[in-house]
Amino acid sequence: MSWNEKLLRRLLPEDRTEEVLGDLAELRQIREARTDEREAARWYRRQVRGFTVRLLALRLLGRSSELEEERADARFDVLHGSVPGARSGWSETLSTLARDLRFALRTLGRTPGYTAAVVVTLGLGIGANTAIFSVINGVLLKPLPYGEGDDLVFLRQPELNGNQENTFFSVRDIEDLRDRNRSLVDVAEYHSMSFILHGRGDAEMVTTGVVSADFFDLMGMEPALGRDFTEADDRLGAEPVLMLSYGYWQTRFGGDPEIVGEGMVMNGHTHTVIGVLPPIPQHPRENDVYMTTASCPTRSGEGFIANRSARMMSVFARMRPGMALEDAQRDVEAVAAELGLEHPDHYARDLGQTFQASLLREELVQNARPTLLLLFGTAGLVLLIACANVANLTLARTSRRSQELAVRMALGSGRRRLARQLWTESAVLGLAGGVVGLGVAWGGMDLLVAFASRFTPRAEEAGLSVSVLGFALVASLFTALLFGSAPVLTLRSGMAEALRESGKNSAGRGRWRLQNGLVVAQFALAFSLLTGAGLALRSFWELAKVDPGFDVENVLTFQVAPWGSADVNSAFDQKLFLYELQDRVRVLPGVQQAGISDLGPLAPGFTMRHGVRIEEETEMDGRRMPQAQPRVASAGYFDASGIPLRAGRAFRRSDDLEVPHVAIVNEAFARDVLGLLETEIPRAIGRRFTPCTMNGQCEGEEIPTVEVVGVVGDVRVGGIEEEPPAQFYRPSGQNGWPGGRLVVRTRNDPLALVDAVRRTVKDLDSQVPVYSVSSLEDIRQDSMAPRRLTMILLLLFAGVAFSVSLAGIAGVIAFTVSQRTHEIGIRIALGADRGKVLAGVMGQGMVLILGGLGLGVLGGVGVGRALSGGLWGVSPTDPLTFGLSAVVLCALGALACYVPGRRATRIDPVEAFRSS
Amino acid sequence: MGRDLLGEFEHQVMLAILRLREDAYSVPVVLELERVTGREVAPAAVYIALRRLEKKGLVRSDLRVPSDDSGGRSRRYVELTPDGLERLREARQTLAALWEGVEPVLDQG
Repeated sequence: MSWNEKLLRRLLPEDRTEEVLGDLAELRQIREARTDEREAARWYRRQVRGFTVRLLALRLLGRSSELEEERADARFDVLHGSVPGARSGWSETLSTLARDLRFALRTLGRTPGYTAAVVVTLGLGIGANTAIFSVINGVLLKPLPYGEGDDLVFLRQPELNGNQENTFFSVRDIEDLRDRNRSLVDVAEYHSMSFILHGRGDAEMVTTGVVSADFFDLMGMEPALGRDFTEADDRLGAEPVLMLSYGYWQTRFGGDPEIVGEGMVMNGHTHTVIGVLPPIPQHPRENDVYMTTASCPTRSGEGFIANRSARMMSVFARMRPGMALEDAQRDVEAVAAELGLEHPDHYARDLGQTFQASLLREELVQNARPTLLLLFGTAGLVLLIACANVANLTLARTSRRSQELAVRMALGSGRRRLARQLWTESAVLGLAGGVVGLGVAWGGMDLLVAFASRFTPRAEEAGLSVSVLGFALVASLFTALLFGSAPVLTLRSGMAEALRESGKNSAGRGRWRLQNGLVVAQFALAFSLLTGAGLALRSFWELAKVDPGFDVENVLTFQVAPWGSADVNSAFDQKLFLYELQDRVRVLPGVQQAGISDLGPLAPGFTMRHGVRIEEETEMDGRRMPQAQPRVASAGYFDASGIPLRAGRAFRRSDDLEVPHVAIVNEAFARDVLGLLETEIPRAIGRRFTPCTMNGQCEGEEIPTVEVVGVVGDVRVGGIEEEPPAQFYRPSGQNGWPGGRLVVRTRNDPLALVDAVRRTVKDLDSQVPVYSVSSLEDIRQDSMAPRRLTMILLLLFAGVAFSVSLAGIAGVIAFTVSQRTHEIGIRIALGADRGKVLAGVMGQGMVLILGGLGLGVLGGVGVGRALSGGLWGVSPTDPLTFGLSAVVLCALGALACYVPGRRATRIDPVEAFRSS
Repeated sequence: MGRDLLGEFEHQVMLAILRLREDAYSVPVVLELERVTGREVAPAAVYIALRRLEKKGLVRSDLRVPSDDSGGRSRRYVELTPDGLERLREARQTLAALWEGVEPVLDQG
């Protein structure tokens, strides 16, 4: 269908269109019979054009009686649109709405390219926001899934002036807290340990939550299967019982309900499974099974219970109804103060040891909150950019429709009537974008949940819910309101001009300013996001460059628990088992070296420090005893881990109880504890010190003084981001516990050796479980995963924002070129250099881009400041990041302007004149 | 104010309708006018004139699907209303009265 035919169709009243076109076609056939086909076609084109012109003239001159009638129609519309129900009630309003909707759908259907571009752009923006909102809703907004979870508090025992965030609680602490507090209804205890479980199949290491009988009751949790713990289960000497976590029950036993009542051996006793927990987040960590305190060998020990300083438990409590956190805080502080006065030996009052209460709700999400809010903010910016872009597309489209709109306005359709029509179109687009956005959110949900679970146990609660649907709806309509206001604003200014220039697309000056402003805003926002993502990338890059102090390549590590075997009865047996295992693994094909340690070189979360007393330094000069991290290592460990020896010697198998006690320290120890300068490090050899016990005991028969025989390099044990602590290593042969983690350096892919290693352990003793098997590289990657994922999401958002902005500017420039075809044609006809034409068009675009860049630098500084807490090794205003982002922005921006610019240089003057 | 004046083209269209009797719709009207006047007639002009006449109540139309060779498409058939016929009659009388006695002058010219 020709352009003229389309226009004619629009100008004709709907009910007359078909008959008129039919009549015209019939006349054409008759002409064809009388003359010839070409002649008839020419006649037909002439008639269609004539028809169009006549109808247009009729409307614009406004003289026909038809016009009068349509004016009346328009007035009727306006009246009913603006005063719904005043005259004809709801049904009329609804039918008006239906008419507007039908019209909007038809109009949008005529421009499928525009409609698709808008829906996809909005879909991405709304999708990103909805996805992140669904996580925020599940993690931060929803009440805890525990019964009346908002009253639950988590208690800590920190040393406010020392460096201890939490020293945990002893049995005596908990008993006194229970008796003396006035603000808590219920006080339950918790700690987690690893035990070996001999259930169905192989022996296996399970993380076990050890809790008081009232723990789940306090949390308001009902077992999904079986029964909860009772007071009787928690009495010393009671039959041991277990509850399984939902996840462990599913993965290990395939959700078999018959499991309840089954007996499983742990710590040499048969434990009966009495129930299964519902699938809800566990805090502070996910456990496989739960037992009562009476079943835990450590916790139920007489000495442990009596020792007020034996602290390892966490405390959960429920506040009395009506109590605020501040009341509870004051109350537990008072209890701590009382206890401090009564037992000065057990509470370091000078270090500010006290009790602290915080809401469990906050505990669960405190790590996730900043990251989630950061991503939400970023996604919000992406949506704003999408809005600006769609507003621009819509403006350009309104421009092309200005003829239609002008005619309708001339007919008496008031601005309000037209505005309502435009709003309806925007709302339809916004809602369609929302539907696509829900799809995007749904598709990205699993990834996002996996991401969020790095920060909070509540991640699993994220999902598409009624509130998320509500959010998507509000976001869609809000978006529609934002981008839809642009064309409506220009209704006022553009129309008179459109009428004067009838027949040509036209754009008022106001509209131009708005379009340019939107492009500048898009680039400013995109640049801010780009620098933010750039800073995250730079941080990650800096982090990846950090030398962790060991060689991660081709190293396999795994844990064994020799004490799980009935044949291994003592520390001595464990040592023999480990030595034998080390020897066998060392000769496996592809293995270079194998060593034993307690944790391996990278152990995020391991923060233990012991005091050390340096010989010859009896006076402490009033300063605190130096603290260092105690580690265990065997012969071959440093070699296998790639930790360099700086001075002295490494451990030997012969460093056992038959010879004087020795130790190897790291450089940080030599520096910070022994007070040596970098160049004096070899002088650490021969120095002697006493590692004190966990409870601060530094003297006694079982506490030997050791001599430093070697210095090794520093290792970033707590994670790549943490400075290496002062460490001392004791040889496996002299330490009470020889360690349980093997570190194996291989020639090729370390994971290829996993089966061989498992077989070797099984051959040695089939009752010994092998667990936490992974390569050192994987552990390192894992420790960087939250940062990497955050960076990837930021890059993704910045990428979307930037692409949308590029498409935006290309569109605006292309539109300008199409508007200026006539003028450019004249200039080319007059001999203008095509290069200059290109420069002119691109210059216009570059001005907008540079404007955006200028504003974007300010935005980037703001984003950098918001990010600064999460940056590593890079300043929030890093010039390199800003510079590179600017270069990328300008280069790609220029490319986006070049494409339509080139089209301008190819304008054929003759064509340009003809079309005008 | 009196009734609208009947334009010349409207007059011609009404006469064409009268001549075509029940076969009148825009296509034969165009062809009839072309045949009689010997000039090309724009279908648009006919369409606009018909709509205007309809508005004035001189012509009425109805949409029919005829059984003949229309290919099943509907056509808007038109006929004069009694008002329309009355107006034509008046016009003829007026013209005839005006013509009286001027024919010899024309013939001489």
